[in-house]
Amino acid sequence: MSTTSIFWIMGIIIGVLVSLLVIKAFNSDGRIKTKYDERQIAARGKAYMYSFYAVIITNALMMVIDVGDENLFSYGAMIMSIPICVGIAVQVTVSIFKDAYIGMNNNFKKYMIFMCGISAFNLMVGIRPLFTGDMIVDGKLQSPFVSLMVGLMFIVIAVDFMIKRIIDGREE
Amino acid sequence: MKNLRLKSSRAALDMSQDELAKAVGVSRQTISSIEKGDYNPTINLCIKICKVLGKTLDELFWDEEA
Repeated sequence: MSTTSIFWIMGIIIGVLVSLLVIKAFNSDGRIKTKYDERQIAARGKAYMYSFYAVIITNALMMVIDVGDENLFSYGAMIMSIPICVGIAVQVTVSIFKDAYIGMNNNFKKYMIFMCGISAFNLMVGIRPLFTGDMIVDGKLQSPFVSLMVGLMFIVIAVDFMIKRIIDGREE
Repeated sequence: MKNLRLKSSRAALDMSQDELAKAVGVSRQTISSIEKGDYNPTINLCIKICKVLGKTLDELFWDEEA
């Protein structure tokens, strides 16, 4: 296992632990598990289905248009960040529009503040190298590309929430 | 098809969608979806709603035309 792999694994473990702590702190009942009612569970099931197909289609497209060439990336596994972000964005988008993203014990405002913070941090890490020329070194995309993808994914999610709010406002 | 009987029964008890949702353990959007006819609840949820509103399943959910 390479040093890069170890750093990636450590990053993922820290990310999961922080997420669990944040969820526990932000849920109104102090539990880690988010509660969904029967309609939300059914809607989320459909969202996962669409997300699954989106990941497959994205992977297929990447193969077709040669984005799937791992030589484009400084670290081969970075290539997976694209379908992962697309899959998450689709799952969250469908869930938001079916009122199944925010669970019954979630604190919407706290979540939004946290997500905006994560989004800003990732965009900051991801956009800066675009201007300093550090995004592509020796013809290969560097690791900030992953942060850029995650930042863009959060922007999509934020736009989804705004559109949904406008729609709900009109219905009321 | 809209469930106007549920809406009127809830309104008769002066309950908001949010109050009914909390009483039966679902989200407000789920009650709204049931009233709008966008979601068909499970029998368990129907029973819970009936108990809270003091109605029978027939009174709230039986559709004579179906």
